[in-house]
Amino acid sequence: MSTLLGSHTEARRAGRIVQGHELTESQAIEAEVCVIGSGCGGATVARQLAMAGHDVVVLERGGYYPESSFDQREINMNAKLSADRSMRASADGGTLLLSGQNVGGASVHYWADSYRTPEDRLQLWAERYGVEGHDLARLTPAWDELTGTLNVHPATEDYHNRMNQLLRSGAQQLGWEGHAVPQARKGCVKSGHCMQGCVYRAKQSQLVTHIPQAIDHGARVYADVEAAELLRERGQVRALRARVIDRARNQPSGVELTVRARAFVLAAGGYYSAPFLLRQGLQKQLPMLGRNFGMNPTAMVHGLYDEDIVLWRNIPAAFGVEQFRLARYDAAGAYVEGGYLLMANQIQPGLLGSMMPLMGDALGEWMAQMPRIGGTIAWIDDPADELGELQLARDGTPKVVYPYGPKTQAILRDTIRKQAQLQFAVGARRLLVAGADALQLDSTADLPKIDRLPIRAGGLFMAAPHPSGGCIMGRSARDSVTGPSHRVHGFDNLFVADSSVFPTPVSVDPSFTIMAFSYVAAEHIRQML
Amino acid sequence: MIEQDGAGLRGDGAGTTASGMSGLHWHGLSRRRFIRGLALLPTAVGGSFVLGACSEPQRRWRDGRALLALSVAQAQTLEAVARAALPAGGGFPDVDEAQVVRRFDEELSFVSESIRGDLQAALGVLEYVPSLYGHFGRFSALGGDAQRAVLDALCGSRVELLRAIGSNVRILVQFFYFAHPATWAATGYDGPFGHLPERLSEQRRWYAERTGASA
Repeated sequence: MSTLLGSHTEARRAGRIVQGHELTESQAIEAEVCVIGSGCGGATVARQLAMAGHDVVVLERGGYYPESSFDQREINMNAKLSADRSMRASADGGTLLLSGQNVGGASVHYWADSYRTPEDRLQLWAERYGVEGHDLARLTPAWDELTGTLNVHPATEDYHNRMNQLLRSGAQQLGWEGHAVPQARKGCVKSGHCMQGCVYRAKQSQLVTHIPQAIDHGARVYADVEAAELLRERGQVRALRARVIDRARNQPSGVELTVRARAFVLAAGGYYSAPFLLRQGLQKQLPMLGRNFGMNPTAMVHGLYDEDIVLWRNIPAAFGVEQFRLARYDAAGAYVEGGYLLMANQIQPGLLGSMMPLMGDALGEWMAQMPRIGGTIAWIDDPADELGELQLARDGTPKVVYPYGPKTQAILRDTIRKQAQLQFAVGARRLLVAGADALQLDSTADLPKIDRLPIRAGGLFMAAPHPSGGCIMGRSARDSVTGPSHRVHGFDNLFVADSSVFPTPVSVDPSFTIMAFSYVAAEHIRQML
Repeated sequence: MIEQDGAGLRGDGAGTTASGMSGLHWHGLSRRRFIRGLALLPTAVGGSFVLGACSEPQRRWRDGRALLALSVAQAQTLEAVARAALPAGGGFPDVDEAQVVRRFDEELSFVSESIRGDLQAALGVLEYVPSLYGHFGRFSALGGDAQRAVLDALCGSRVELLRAIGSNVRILVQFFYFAHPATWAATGYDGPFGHLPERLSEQRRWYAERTGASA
């Protein structure tokens, strides 16, 4: 620590956010722990370690955008908050890959639903994949604390907009189980701009919770800094070389940081952590790197109603249909139904218009009735035996190869049918499946048309905001990338703390699981310091 | 009329697959190499679509400002897609008023090279693909109905790459259009909550300056 550069002595004593434009000269930084990424995983680990008295540095590739910089306009905020402006697609071009890239990560644009990991999923991970030390007993204290920190509570009645009321009513009519969804919010004004970042600091993202708490305890957060290379020596990471990004051009500025630390924590998120390790040339040493990749692809059905729905106001996922969270198979192993969470959709006009499979005047006719357009969305629980792989594109960025296997296709078809069934039950006059085939349904008599709908990449318009896997946790380097201590196999001081350690998707929104796992990661990191 | 997808573009198994979505195999040809190969095809017969990005002395769009990511030819194709895909009349604004091409160029200026390259190449394919569907002429020179028919055929193609090209370009065009304030009155959208003033990021200001918006 004595070699710490003088110019940063002050910064070390008092935590702060350092932005790229302040970094005009290459320099070395020292800390006990260097965290790469500031989303639900990185911010939580940083907060836990900083509060325990450790000297923590967080590097974030994206910019620091405080609420005062938010204007709630879709494209502007998408550009500020999202990696590659949400224009990255899977290798087949069929699914848009959504992730955060800003201080606070994806939590700044997420929907704030905060489910505890279902016990069946924790058991699956433990029994099939060897994920030890992450059972309900271990994680519950973390969730209990997070519930207070993030003010997590079930959505109350006034936070159910018309579409959420209809979703609940439809589920009740059809006998499908569902509940008010736990929300991480405080003083929500129902703006409906969760995906554009909350100006009102009501959504309890990492930007307004764990990041400032970590800073209060001395953590230094470097925005506009991209991790480039781990400098390694026999199973030890000695330092990290990082590039400062000129935010205005979104290109390296030429300034470099060298971070020396006793422990390094990779928390770049499900789309970026495995590719970072792939760029370090670790594929041979870690054959599972990039494997078991899931992304909760979504399928949407838009509905036209006789009443105003106003899909863009109030909170998005107030009510969730959990009846179909797990896929059901018959005794012979054939798929029956399920494998998704069903929610009310909430999208602003740009995203809604982009997901409309119509052109010209037909598109105009629908969009001219936007207040009366409702819709539902399903998060697919990617089947464990049909997961994809993260590879590297030629420019070193993530390349998602995702198979959309037969079970996944069956799940997609089933959820489209269920979404249509529910929306007709609550009064939709006409439905439109969000996909290139522009399947339009005028009544329940049209439901059989769904059976003939081609399910294929680029056929359904899908987005995937919940990546998982790529650095999965398990027993050894033969079956995984990280061990139960979150340590990368073969390294003494390199850890992973984000959704990439999950062997399969969580089957619910992953943010609360990521945070609870990060509590466990922080404990293991503390033990080695 | 050539059968949908055209025999020459079919992958292994003529586009029919056991598993539906991922069964196409291009004998090791990557997606990017494939679409770039398609995009370069017209240059071999006298076109200059893809190379146009570097060979044109003035990459200036109709609004008088420079283009940073798109060539003029690519911008023209994109504009044609926008005019075909987006509503005309009914109170909806024109593609120019909603600044679709301008915003596309701006967004593309800040994304990873692999994404920018794919989308530039996709526009190249779009411009020259109509002949595969029985339309003689470049996409931007076709009438609106023919353009919509080509887009429909692409989006519904059995060839994964063609679907990706058609769908992704269309999705982005529609996103930039309906997110523009000029369209909101026609949709009944009452604007962002609280009607906050627009707050330009460093990147928006940089792009505006580099393209001469402030002039």
